[in-house]
Order: sequence, then structure tokens, then C-alpha cells
Amino acid sequence: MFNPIRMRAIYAIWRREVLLYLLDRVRVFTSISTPILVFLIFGTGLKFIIPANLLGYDFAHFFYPGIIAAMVAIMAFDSGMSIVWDREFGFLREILVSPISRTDLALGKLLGATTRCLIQALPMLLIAPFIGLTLSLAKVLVIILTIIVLGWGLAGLGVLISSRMRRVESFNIVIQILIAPMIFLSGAFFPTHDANNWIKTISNFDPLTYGVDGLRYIFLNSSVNAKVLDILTTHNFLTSASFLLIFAILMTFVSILVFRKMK
Amino acid sequence: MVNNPNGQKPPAIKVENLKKYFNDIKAVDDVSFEIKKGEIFGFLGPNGAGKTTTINMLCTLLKPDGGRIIIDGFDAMLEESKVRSALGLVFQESILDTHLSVEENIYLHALLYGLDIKQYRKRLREILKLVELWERRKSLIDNLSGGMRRRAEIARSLIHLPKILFLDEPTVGLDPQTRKKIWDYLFDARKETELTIFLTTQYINEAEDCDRVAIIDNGKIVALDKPEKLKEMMGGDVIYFRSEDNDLAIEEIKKQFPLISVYKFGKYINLETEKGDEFLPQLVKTVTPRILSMELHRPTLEDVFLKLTGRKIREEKENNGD
Ligand SMILES: Nc1ncnc2c1ncn2[C@@H]1O[C@H](COP(=O)(O)OP(=O)(O)O)[C@@H](O)[C@H]1O
Ligand SMILES: [Mg+2]
Repeated sequence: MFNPIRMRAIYAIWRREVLLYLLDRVRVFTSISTPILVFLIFGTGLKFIIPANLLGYDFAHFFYPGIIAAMVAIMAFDSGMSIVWDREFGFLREILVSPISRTDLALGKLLGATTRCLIQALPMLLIAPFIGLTLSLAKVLVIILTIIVLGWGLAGLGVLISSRMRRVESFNIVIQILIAPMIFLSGAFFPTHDANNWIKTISNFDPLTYGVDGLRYIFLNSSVNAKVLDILTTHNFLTSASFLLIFAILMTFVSILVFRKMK
Repeated sequence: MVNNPNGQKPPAIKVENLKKYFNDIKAVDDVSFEIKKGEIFGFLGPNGAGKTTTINMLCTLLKPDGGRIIIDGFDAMLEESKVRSALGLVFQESILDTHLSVEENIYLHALLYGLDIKQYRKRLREILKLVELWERRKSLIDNLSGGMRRRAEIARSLIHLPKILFLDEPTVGLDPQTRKKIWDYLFDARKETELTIFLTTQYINEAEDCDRVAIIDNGKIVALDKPEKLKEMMGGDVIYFRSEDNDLAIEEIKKQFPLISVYKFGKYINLETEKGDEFLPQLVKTVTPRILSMELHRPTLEDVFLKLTGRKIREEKENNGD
């Protein structure tokens, strides 16, 4: 594993992913500022329309972890699927003829995607104190870990989907067709605990559901009482964390397989 | 390692009965050749001849439908990763990351091939000086001209000291000066190490600079030799002319000079003869239809290609002729 030649190759793939993101200043700016803006408008705006005493909880508390999970999902998906562009612009061939193993290629790609998710999501944490959520160091670490595991798994799913895609033109369509239902079903923006049964059933198959629940639990568990937390989440933290971990491991193998088959 | 029965230095590349079919298109049709270490070997052929398909198989990107490829002593189908570390590649289309700098592109490549930072720094300077891009190393690829991009790509493919360099039409779309420069770099790079170069081209003069040339058409190698040897296939000089009645002219030439090779090509008549300069006056006397244009030259590989396939390598040339 810690063979320097392999580490360099993985570093190359990771470095390129991160560089291509960071060098696109406009994209970095919008990808960080848009969720913050959306949160300020909806999260705090709706708070006045739907008062906490009517809802039983503060809408901002509900919305905040949800939007972080959603932005991680979009970024992870987008990064995983970027191999469609790599294929279109030929970079994929540069990698495929190099001696790097397909396993290392997959690891580099997923690491890069996960790093992008963190770069985008961490500034959001600065908002927490302003809406009355206290973050300890331990909490921040668990949040980072959850973002990594969630982003990693979804990036792997992105890799899988892009392997079925030959045309670059379908990129945005596929992203939107998959991302929107995934976010809505996950309960990131609308609570699903009152939804009808079939929505609940489908949402159990949505990996993002567990990301939303996991993040909600960590952010809120010391700030709201247990009853409210129970309304706001579908699964407990242990279930969410286990699901995300298993999903990430599964998607690692799937991505490796996708890259192995790639020509 | 594949054993070499004669105990000699193994060839850089050995290809036996290589085949690749795309449905009913025989893109590469039973091709065999050997390239010695340190050789510059050219694949000359028109668009669609099967040059890129051959390169893709040699560099392990494409699975052949038949045959065997031995690169630097390793079977390309069985020991992919060993073969890959020995290769440098410049594809037909540029595949640099255009948002990144020359240096960054080369650095990523060096990492992929496992170079450590010391080796990389030393090589980077050498190689960018060689292709005269050292001053431009911080420039984004986006801001470079086509010729500079090509040079950056060649530098990148050489950074990890490959044993064999593949170049797929490396100078296509470049002006003649840049083309010449790129050739100078390649010759310099070869001098430096025992680099073997395999390149494909549609340019005659480029093929003539190679140590050996394979002429490929419709997936088959129709001739393979040193450029001088190939040109000797032509009987001396080539006369290329057009008259008001080509059929009659050919008939007259055949009657008067039965030993001379003469054939029609489109609107032209091709004629091979020794001492073309002395033959011209006799020809003018023999042909009764009015002569519209006439040209005499030493044979080129274009003539060889024309003779072997009945077509010109690059069609646009033919159109310009009218
Ligand atoms: N992936 C492919 N699918 C179908 N046909 C192909 C494919 N790649 C190449 N061909 C066909 O194979 C032939 C050889 O192509 P190519 O090797 O690209 O020629 P060259 O590089 O000499 O121009 C052409 O007829 C081309 O259309
Ligand atoms: Mg080609």
C-alpha cells in the first residue's frame, strides 16, 4: 500500500481533481456561496413565516444540516461523473496508458472528489454558532468524517453512472434527473416523517437519507431535545453511519471495477 | 520476458499477424513488422489506413482481434503494466489539460509514472530546454500556439525517459518551420538516449526522414523498407503529365517504348524512366495529342504509394492540382 510509486500516482490523480476545481475561481466562489445564500433566504426566512412554536422546532435547525448534505451530494456526484469530461478531452487516455493501476486510479478519483466536498462544505460550518448550534472539536471531526464517507460513496455512484454514459451532452440532464429526486426523497429540505409510506420506503434506498440523518443528528443532538431530534430524523445515528460506511465500501469496489473495465 | 532464441539484443517492438476488425471494417489486417532499438520507424498512410488503430493496440489501449505484440521484450497483452512504463505517447489529438500550466501538466505526468521530485526537477529543465519551452513553463496551455502545445506534449511524453516513443501524426496542422523543429527535437532526444521512435504520418518528407518506413493502406502493409530502397522500386525518374487525349498518348508511348512503365492516374499519366531529363524531348516528340502540363522529378514516397495503391496519400493535394 505505502509503496512510494503508487502513492505518487494516487497523489497525481487527487492533485489534478483538486487543482481543476480550485483553479476555477468562479466555480469555487459560487459553489461555496450559493448554499450559504440559500440557507440565509430559506432557512432564516421561513423561520419567521413558520414560527418554532407552531412547528415544534426551529426550521433553521432542520434546514441547515440538510443543505450541507445536499451540497456534498451534488459536488460528489459532479466529481465522480467528471470522467465523462476526462474521456471527452482525452485525459482518460493519458491515465489509461500510464502504469498506474486501476485500483489506484479509482482511489485517487474518490479522494479528489471527497476533498472537493470538504472544501465546499467546511465554510458552511461557520454559520452554526449564529443559529444557536454549538460545535465542539470532537463534533467537527465527526462531521468531517461523515462528509468524507458520504461524499466518497456518492462519488463512487457518480463514477458508476458515468461509465454508462457515452455522450457529454447528457451530463447535465443525468445529474439533474438523479440529483433532484435524491435530495427531495432524502428529507434534506422537506421532512419525510409525515410522508406517505411509499415515499418512506423509497427514501430508505436513498443513500443521501442516511447522510442527512447522520449530519442532523451530530449537529443537533446536544442543542435540541431528544423528542424533537426523533421527529427530525428517520434513522438513528448508528444506522446512518453504518449504512454510509457500507455504501462507501461497496462503491469503492464498484468504482475499481468500473475503471478496470474501462478502455 | 519473452526469450529470444538467437540470444541477440531483442527488438524494441515485434508485431506478428496483428489484426483488428470493427464489424466488417478490417482496420488492421494481418500486419507484421519488427523495429530495432534506437530506430525511427514511420508508418506512412492516408486517413483511415489503420495507423491510429495500430498505435492503440501497441500501447495497450485496444485489444487486438489476433496476433502478438512484444514491446521491449514483454508481451503487450500479458504484461500490460511493464509495457506501459516503457512507453511515451503523443496522441493524434492534443490531450493536455488546457487550464493547467505546461509545468503542471508535466508534473502530473511525472507523478503518474512514479518519478520522484529530484528526478523530475532535473529532467524538467533538460526536456523543456530541448523543446524550447523553459521560459514558457508557467504559461497555461490555453495560451500556447498549436506548435507550442505539440512541443509541450512531446516534452511531457519524454519526461519519464521512455524506451519507446509513439507519435501519432505529431506534426499535423503545423507550419513547415515548426514541423522541422519538432523533428530536430526528436533527433536530439534520440541522440541523448537509445530512444526508439514509432511515428505515423501522412507527410512524405517526414516519412523520408525515418530510418525505415512501412507504407500502410486499408489495414495492410504494402511495402516496408528504408526510404531510399523504397524509392528504388521506381524505375529512375518520374514524369507526370497531362494531354488532351491520355488514352491515345499511352498507346503511343507503349508502342514506341515497350520497356517503360506507364500508367494512368486520374487526369494524369505517370511514367517511370531512367535519365528522365534526356527522355523528355523524345516523349514530347512521340505523343501527338497536345500536352497540357508536364513535370519531372526524382521519385518520392508519394510516387511509391501511388504505384502500389493507385491513389495519392492525401486527396486534397489532388484537388488543388486542378
Ligand atoms: N472505434 C472504431 N469503431 C469503428 N471503426 C473504427 C474505429 N476506429 C477506427 N475505425 C475505422 O478503422 C479504420 C482505420 O482507422 P484509423 O486507425 O483511425 O486510421 P488512421 O489513423 O490511419 O487514419 C477506419 O476505416 C476507421 O473508420
Ligand atoms: Mg489516425
